[in-house]
Amino acid sequence: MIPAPFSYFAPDTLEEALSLLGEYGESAKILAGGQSLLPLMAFRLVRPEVLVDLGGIEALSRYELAGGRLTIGSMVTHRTIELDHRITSRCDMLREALDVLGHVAIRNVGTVGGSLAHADPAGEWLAVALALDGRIMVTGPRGNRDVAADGFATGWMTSCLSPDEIVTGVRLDMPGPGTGSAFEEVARRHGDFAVVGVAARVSVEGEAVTGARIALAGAASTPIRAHRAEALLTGTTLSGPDLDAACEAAASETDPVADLHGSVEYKRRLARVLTRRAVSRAYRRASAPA
Amino acid sequence: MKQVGEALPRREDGRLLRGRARYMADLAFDDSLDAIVVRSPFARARILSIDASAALAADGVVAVLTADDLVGVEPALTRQFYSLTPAFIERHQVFLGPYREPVLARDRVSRMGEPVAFLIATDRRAAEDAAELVEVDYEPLDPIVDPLRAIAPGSDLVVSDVPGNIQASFHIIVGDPTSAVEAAERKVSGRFRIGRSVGSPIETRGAVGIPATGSEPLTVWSSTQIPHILRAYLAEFLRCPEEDLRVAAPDMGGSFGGGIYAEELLVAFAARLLGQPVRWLEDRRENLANARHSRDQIIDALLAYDTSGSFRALEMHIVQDCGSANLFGLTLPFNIASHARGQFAIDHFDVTGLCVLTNKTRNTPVRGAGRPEATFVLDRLVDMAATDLGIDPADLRHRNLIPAREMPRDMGMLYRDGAPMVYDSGDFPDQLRTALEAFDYWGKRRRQDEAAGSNLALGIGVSSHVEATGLGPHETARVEIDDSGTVVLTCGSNPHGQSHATTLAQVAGETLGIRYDRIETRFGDTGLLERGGGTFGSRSAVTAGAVVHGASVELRRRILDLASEMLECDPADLIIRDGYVSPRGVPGISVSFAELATGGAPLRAEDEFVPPTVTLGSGTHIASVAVDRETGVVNLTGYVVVDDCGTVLNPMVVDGQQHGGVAHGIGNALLEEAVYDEGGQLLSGTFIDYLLPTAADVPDIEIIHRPHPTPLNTLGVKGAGEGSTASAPGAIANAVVDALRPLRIEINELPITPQRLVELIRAAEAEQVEGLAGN
Ligand SMILES: Cc1cc2nc3c(=O)[nH]c(=O)nc-3n(C[C@H](O)[C@H](O)[C@H](O)COP(=O)(O)OP(=O)(O)OC[C@H]3O[C@@H](n4cnc5c(N)ncnc54)[C@H](O)[C@@H]3O)c2cc1C
Repeated sequence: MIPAPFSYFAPDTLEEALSLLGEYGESAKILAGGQSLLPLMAFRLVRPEVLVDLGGIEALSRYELAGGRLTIGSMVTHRTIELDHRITSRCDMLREALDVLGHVAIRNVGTVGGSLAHADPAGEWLAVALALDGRIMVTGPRGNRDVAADGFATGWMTSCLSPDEIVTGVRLDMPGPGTGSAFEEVARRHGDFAVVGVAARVSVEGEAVTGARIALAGAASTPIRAHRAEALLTGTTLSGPDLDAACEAAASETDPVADLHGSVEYKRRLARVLTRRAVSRAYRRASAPA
Repeated sequence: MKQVGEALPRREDGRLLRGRARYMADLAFDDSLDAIVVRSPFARARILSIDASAALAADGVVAVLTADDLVGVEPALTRQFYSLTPAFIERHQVFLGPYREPVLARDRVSRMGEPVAFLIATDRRAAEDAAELVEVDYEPLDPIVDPLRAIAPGSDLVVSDVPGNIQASFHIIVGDPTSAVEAAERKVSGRFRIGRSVGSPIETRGAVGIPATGSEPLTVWSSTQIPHILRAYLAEFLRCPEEDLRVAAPDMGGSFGGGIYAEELLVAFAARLLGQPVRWLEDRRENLANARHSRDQIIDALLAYDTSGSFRALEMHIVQDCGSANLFGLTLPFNIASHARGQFAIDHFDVTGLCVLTNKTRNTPVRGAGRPEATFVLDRLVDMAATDLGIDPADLRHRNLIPAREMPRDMGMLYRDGAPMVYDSGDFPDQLRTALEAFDYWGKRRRQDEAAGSNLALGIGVSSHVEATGLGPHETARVEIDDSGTVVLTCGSNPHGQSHATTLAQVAGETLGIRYDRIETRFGDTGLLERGGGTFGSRSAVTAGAVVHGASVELRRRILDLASEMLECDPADLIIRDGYVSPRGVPGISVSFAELATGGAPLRAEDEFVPPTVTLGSGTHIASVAVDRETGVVNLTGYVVVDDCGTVLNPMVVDGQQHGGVAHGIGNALLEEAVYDEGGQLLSGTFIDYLLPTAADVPDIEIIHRPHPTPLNTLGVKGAGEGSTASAPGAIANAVVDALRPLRIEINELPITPQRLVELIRAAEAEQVEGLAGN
C-alpha cells in the first residue's frame, strides 16, 4: 500500500499552482487534505505523476460570514467550520452535517474544497451546498467562474471541473429568519459515509411553506436535489398527506446505486423516511419563534 | 502477599501506551530485505505461465520465487492442526479427508488471494513497484462459491482428491433423539446463517526469516500465537530437525486466531536461500482477504419440547464453509456441536457436521470459534419456543437450566481432545438470577412499552453460553532466580493482549513471596524453552496459569530447602517476603534470593502441565436495544455480563477480556461480514466495507463475576477469552426480535444489517395486512 512514484510541488500562490497544472496536464493531481486522494493512491487506483499541494496558498484558507452569506475558501478544514459557533448557530443543517462527516481526525485535515471537488455521491458538503443554493468558485487558465452547486457534479465522483481548474471556495446562503434547516442521515457506524443523507431547508410564513430545498446524498451517482418534492411542499402547511406526497416524490427522484450497505430499495426507503424527518424538523425550526 | 484475585495494574501498559512496544515492523535487522506476495486475482483458475523477467530486471529486486523455485522443501502444508484419537473418530463417526495447501500455487489457484509468487527486493517500495510487473497468465474457471451448491451432486471439485467437496464430517448422537423428537409435544426449527467474518487485529500479520549464523540457528520472528507449533511446521516444510530452528513472537497488536500461513514458511526459505534476513509485512487489504476468516455456517436446527416448557431434544445439521483448504479439520462445526446445548439440560441430541470446500479464503477458528454460532442458534430457538408457549424467555430458560447440584454433568459425548465431555462446575440458575437482577429485567419489562418512542421500539434479549476452555495438549514454564536475585518466568504461551506478564507473574509472585511487578517475564520463544503450547482457545490462564503455579511451587520448595540449610532452620518455619527468606517471627535474620542464587546449584524449576481435558467457563448476558422501525438501525442501550471463569486471577484483566469479547460479538451481530460475489471476488476488501465496531457502537457494559472454581487444575481457573463473543450475537438478536414482537419476526441470519431488518419488518407487515384482509 505504497503509492506509485510521483513528484510533489507545494506552490505558494494560485498562479503558480495553475501554471503547474497547465504544465503537467492530466498527469497532475491537486492535493488538499489528502483524506480521499491518498487512500486511492495507496491502493494504486489513482496514480498521478505529479501532486500539486494547495496547503501553502494562504488565500484559500480564509472564510467569512457576511450579510447572510458564508464564503469558505477551499482549503478550510471541516473542523474549522464545525468549531465556529457563529456559523453553526446560524445553520442547524451545517452543524448536523458536520457532526456526522467522518471523525474528528478526518475533519481536522479534510477540506471543504477537497470534498466538493471529489464529488462523492454520499458527501455531506455537496448536499449542503445544494440545499443552501451554493455557488462553487473556480479558477483556471481561462479565468474565474462560478458554478451553481446544482450541476457541479456530473457523474460518479466526477464534476464539471477540467484538470487544469482549481476550486477556490464555495458561497452558501445562510438560512434567515422564518427559515429552518436540518440534516438527517443513516450511516452504518458513526462517521461512516452516509448510506443516505438528506439536507432540508424550509421557509415558512404563518403556517405555510413558502420555499423548500431538499438535497440527498447517497441517493444517486451524484448528490441530487429533489425538485419535485420541493415543489410539492411549497404552499402546504405540511399536513400528513402533503408531507407523504413530497416524501414519495423525493424517493422517486432518487436513482440509488446498490452496494454492501444498501440495496436500491433500501436506499429509496431511507430517502423517503429521512426526507420526512429532515423536512419536519426544518419546518418546526422555521416556525419556532426566534 | 496476596496477589491472585487482585485487580493489580497491568505491567504491559506502560510500555504499550508510551510507544515502547516492539511490533513486527519495529524489528530491524542488518541487510534486511522486504518481500511481497503476488496473489491470485481469481477465485479459480489455471495458471498457464508466470513471467517474472520484467520484475527481476526492476530496480532493487533480488528474487522472485514461484512454486518451481521451492526445491528441497515440502511444496504444501499437509498436516492438520489437531490430531484426533481413534476412539473419538469411531464414536462420532468422523470422516477426515486430506488437507493440502500449496505454499505457492503451481498449476492452479483455488481462491482469490492465493500466493503465486514471493518477490524479494531491497525495500518495500521497490517490492511493491516490481510486483506489478510479474505477469501471470491465468485461464479463469467457474468458481464454487456457495457451499450448498458445492455439495450438490455433480458439482465441480475444489480439489480433485476431496470428492463431493466434503473434506470432513461427523455425526453425534446422544440419547435417543429420534424418539424424543417424535414424542415431544411441540417443536421450533429454522435455518440459520452465520455470516463470514474476519478476525481483525490492529496489527496485521508479519514475519521475518533470519539465516543461521555460527551461534544462532535459522530464526523466524512471526506475529504468531503458536511459536512452538510454527517451528514444527517449519521443520517439516524445510525438512530439517526442529533443533535447527528458532521461532519467536515479538509484541503483537492482537490476533484473534489464525494458524499457520504460507508467508511464515516463505520468509524462512527465502532467508536460507539468499543468506539475508527477509521480512514480510502484510498490508490491510491482504489481511482482510487472506487471514483469519471465520464463522460462515448454514445450520438447520430443531428444538423439541413439551407444553410444560421442558426441553426434550435438539437436532442440528451444520454446513461449514471452509474455503479452499481446511487446516483445522472439523474444529469449527464440532465446536458448534459441543457447545450447542449450552447451559440447558437436553438429554437427546443429534448433530451432523459437514466441512465443505469452496473457492474462498481458508476458514480458521477466530475468537469464539463455533461458540458464538452455537449460542446464537440455541438462544434463538429458546426464544422462539418461549413465544410459542407464551412464556417469558427468562422463565423458560430458568426451567431448563442444568441445576448446580447436577454438576459435574456428563454430556454423553466426547470433546475434541478425546475425553468425555463433562461440565465440571458452575451454577447456571444463580448466574441467570444475578443477571436478571443486575439488569432490573422485570422492571424494564414492565416499562418497556411506555419507554418506546414513535419510531423506536425497545427490546430486551437474554443469552447464556458455556465455553470449553484451556485445551491441551500441554504447556511448559520455567521459573528461576538468576544471579542478581531476579525471579525470571519463562512460558511457552505468548500474549497478544491477554496480560500474561501481569496475571502469570501474580501467580508466580504470590507463590514465591515477591511482588508480581518485580518478576521478569519472557514468552513465546523456542530459543528459551524447548516445549510450549501457545495462546488459543482461551487456554493461557488455565494451562499457563497451572504450569506457572506448578513450577513456582517447586521453586519455592527449593528456595526453602536451601534457605533452611543456610539459616539452620526447618523449612516449615521459614517465610518469604519481598525476596527475603527468614524464620517466622525473626525478621532480623534473613537470606535474600540473590544470596541463595549465588550459592551454587541453579535455583530453577521447570514444569509441564497436561490438562486432563477442557474446563467449562460460562456466562449470561442481557442486552437491551432501541430499534428504529423505519430505518432498521439498531442501537444498544444496555448490557450486563455475568461470568464464571473459575478463580479470577485479576478481575480487571478479565473485565478487559469481557469488554473486548462483547465488542467482537457486537461486530458479529450487527456489522462484520466478509462478502464474496458469485465470481468468488471479495467485495468487503477494505475497512470502508468491512465494518468493525468502534467505541461509538459499544455500550457501557456492567460485569459481574460469579466464579465457581474448576477441580481440573490447582488454581481452579477456567478460561475467559471467548465467552463474551459467544453470547453477544444471541442476546442482541433476541433483543431485536423482542423489540419488534408485535410483528413476530424471526432473526436467523448474522449480521443483522439495517437493510435485512427492514426487509424482515416489511415482510411481517405485509403478512399482517394480508392476515387482516383474509379475516
Ligand atoms: C475514514 C474516513 C471517513 C470519511 N467520512 C466522510 C464522510 O462521512 N463524509 C464526507 O463527506 N467525507 C468523508 N471522508 C472524506 C473527507 O471528507 C475528505 O476530506 C474529503 O472527501 C476530501 O477532502 P480532502 O481535503 O481530503 O481532499 P483530497 O483527498 O486531497 O482530494 C480529493 C480530490 O479532490 C481533488 N481536489 C482537492 N482539492 C481541490 C481543489 N481545491 N480544486 C480542485 N480539485 C481538488 C483532488 O485532486 C482529489 O481528486 C472520509 C474520509 C475518511 C478517510
